[in-house]
Amino acid sequence: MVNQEHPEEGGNAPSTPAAAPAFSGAARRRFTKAGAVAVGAVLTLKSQPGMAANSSGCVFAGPSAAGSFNINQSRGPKVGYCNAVSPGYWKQHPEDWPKQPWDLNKSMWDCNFQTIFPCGTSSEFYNQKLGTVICWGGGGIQDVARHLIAAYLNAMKNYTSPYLTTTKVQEIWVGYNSIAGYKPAGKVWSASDISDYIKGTWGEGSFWT
Amino acid sequence: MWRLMPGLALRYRTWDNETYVLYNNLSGDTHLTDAAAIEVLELLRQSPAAARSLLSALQLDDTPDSLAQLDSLLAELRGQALIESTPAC
Repeated sequence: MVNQEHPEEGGNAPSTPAAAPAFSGAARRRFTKAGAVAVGAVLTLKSQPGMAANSSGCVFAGPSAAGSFNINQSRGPKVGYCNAVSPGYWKQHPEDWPKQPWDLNKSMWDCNFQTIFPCGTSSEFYNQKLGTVICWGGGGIQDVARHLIAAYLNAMKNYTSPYLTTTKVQEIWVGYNSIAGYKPAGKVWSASDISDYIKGTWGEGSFWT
Repeated sequence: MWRLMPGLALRYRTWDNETYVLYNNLSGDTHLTDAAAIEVLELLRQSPAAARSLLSALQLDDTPDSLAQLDSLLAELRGQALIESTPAC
């Protein structure tokens, strides 16, 4: 699901990794940078006293984290905090949908799917309104589509700013539909990976458990 | 000597091998941190260590500047209740 994670169990027991972990040498690289100064290395994203160890919090970072934030500069209580809402919410609240930036008289609900998410004319999504697609209940690519629509609307509303932008959401769609698949950091994400990741923006899904 | 807080599971995720999200099962806090901090925490997970020992393990030159930066990082990790200092034997 993610390209690197620590083994879930084992407490403080030493591990015996087969290969050098990705963070190996990170301290040296960081400390030996010219003019390096002591900067904040640890930011608390979300504090949930009493939260169960396997509960998911509303913790968020861009899928590749490439340029989506700078750990040394991002400070403040909003860092990592998401206010995103689900496809179900958007489905039930068409009045909350943002206007089309190119036509403020129209809601994004009425925007054709391919205007935001490229697809061929033979696609089931072609010429369907976003408001229609988000109501579809199928799995697989339909599940991806409605979650990415929600993510796109959340980004338009700045609910996930600056971590997940509209552009990033589109990248996920394009990557998912490419031959190579969506590979934010070397590993292809499945439909459920994408959905789980997006769900994490409103504190659901299994991505963080 | 520094060591991980006893009972800390040290669970983390990364997307780009540079930025990590670290969950503290003891406090319920989730932290955004970098690879250098994870590297230090992993070393301390293997065994408690003094700052100078960590310098060596991290392949850092034993200079006042390196030690000061490491001390700063350790202080920050301690401030987040991820590690603690123990009396040297």
